[in-house]
Amino acid sequence: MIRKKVRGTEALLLSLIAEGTDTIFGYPGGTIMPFYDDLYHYSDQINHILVRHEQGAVHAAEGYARSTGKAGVCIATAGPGATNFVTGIADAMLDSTPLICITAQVNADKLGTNFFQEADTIGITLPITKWSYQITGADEIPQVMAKAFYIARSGRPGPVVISVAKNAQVETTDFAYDQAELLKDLVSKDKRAAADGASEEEIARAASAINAAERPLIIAGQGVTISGAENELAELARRGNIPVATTLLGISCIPSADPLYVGKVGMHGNIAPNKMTQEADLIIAAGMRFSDRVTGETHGYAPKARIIHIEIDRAEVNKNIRADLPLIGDAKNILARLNRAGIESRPREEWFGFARKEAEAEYERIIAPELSGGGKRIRMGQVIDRITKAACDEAIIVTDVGQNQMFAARYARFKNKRSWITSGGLGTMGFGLPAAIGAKTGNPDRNVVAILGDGGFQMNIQELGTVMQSGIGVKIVLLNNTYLGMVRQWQELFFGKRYSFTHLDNPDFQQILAAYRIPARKVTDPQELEEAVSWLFSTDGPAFLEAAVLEEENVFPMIPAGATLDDIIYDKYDK
Amino acid sequence: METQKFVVTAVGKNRLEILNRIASLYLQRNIPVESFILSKDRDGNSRYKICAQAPESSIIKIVNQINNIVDISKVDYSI
Repeated sequence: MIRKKVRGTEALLLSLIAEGTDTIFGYPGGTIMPFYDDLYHYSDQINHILVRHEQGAVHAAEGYARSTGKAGVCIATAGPGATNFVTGIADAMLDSTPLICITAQVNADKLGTNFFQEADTIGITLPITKWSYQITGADEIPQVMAKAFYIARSGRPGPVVISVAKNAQVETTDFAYDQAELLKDLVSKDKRAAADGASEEEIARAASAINAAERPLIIAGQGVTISGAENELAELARRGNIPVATTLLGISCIPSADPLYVGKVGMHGNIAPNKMTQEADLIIAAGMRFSDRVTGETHGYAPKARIIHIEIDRAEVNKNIRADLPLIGDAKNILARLNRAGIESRPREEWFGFARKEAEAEYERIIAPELSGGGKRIRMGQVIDRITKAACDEAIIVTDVGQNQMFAARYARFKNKRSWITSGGLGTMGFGLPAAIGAKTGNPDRNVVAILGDGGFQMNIQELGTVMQSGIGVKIVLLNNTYLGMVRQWQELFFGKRYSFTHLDNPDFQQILAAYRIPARKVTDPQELEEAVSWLFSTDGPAFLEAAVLEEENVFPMIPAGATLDDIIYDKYDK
Repeated sequence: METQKFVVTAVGKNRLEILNRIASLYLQRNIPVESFILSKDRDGNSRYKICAQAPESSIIKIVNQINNIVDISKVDYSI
């Protein structure tokens, strides 16, 4: 595809289109004006969503990427536009999300002069990007864009920042896009790395270990989703009759109703998988990185188990937790090879019996009281339960961070993959609303529900403007407890109930929603919850449901910081 | 934890960005760096050589992370 002399910004657009981009999230500004001028003529090929803050653009691109599997693209002007991306870029780096962040930059010959809206975007984002590049001439554009997309999407995905100097935007270039030629070096390095991955011998040894295990446990993380390895994971579990747990980011890589699914591990996870981790003689960790949220104090983690670690990023193996049998490579590939290596099934009645007993105890002691009606105030778990039922376990759930996130993780249920989007590694408040906008943009035919707390909602509340202008039919659920809930919980449990600056004096959110012309309702009585949720889903287009929930509710069970998985707290009296 | 002097040598393209990324890995961990040399070798590649005092476990982690840097082709460490 060779065109005669295009402007740099048109070359950018053509490169984006060549890479399959049909959606970008952005906010214009002085230095990026040439791009927006050319974008004007491409509105039939690229859908641009105008946000209200660049942070909204980058989180929307994340929600889009995680729900579709495609690279998310966001665009901002120089200086403050680019620096407003920083939180989202760090979030994407920690949660391995493929992003292309295009930021404008001052003219190449003005770099370093503290020109108007000049910020060292590349310098600022170095530690939080997989790769970044400063384009100073239009001729560089095709090569850099091809490289950017390849790096963002390949191996362990991540964010890439491309800073485009203004002169590069306006000068002309001969545009030609031949990916194979442009990516030669990168592809050959990756081929070498793949050849260095798990050998047939290592696969055979792992298969033997699986077959010899009496109490195996699979812990599946986001790597399974990223790799598209959901079927291979389910097959391994079936072949070996092995229970499957997920990390926070692994949720929805296995259907919640799968008989082999035993729940979530981690700080606020289910009791069974956390206890099973401590009793297991073999752990098969697939696409997860043994985050401190999952392990508790590492010295006390999985004391009886040998650990098979299926992981594409060599740097994660033996980083936090020992890997007795590392299997380096793509999860889909490794799991498929394991499935072909002769996995044998065992009844494991006692092991599954243990899982069942712990699940029943958790249900009786924690879940049933939280979900049952009868109280005068709405409980957060009830809202999640109602939402998930009304959507028939088929909605994409996007959360903010804190108690809202933990209750959603515990009570949402999923039939489909790629249906759970949350900020795990960085735990970015304000993620939920813009990420839900991105997820709905990428999945217009599915129900997308944002679960937010009143703290996080207000961090990117301006994105209601994006919803209003674009008409994106996202369903927003606000769990309003007038507190920075998770911090308040810690203050209650560990800081003598000294609620230091965690109470939020909130405005009347209903009035704000009315001003944004988004249909909204508030529900305070648990008896009215079901009907309110029904209203949410039957309203056409965007809709907002505020649930005034019990203020001082706590998320249990809990493994507090500094504790091992042996020290699970069941309730506030249990310390 | 026991620290020792380790030399990490990485080979790749000549880009100041790479030097910056490698330096960040030491900075993040608060490891005192004694010397950091960027030089060209005979094949036209660049050699990044860092001498620092640290526990071996930290150096191993840093080496693995340097390996992930785009345009680094190989990295190793020695005493």
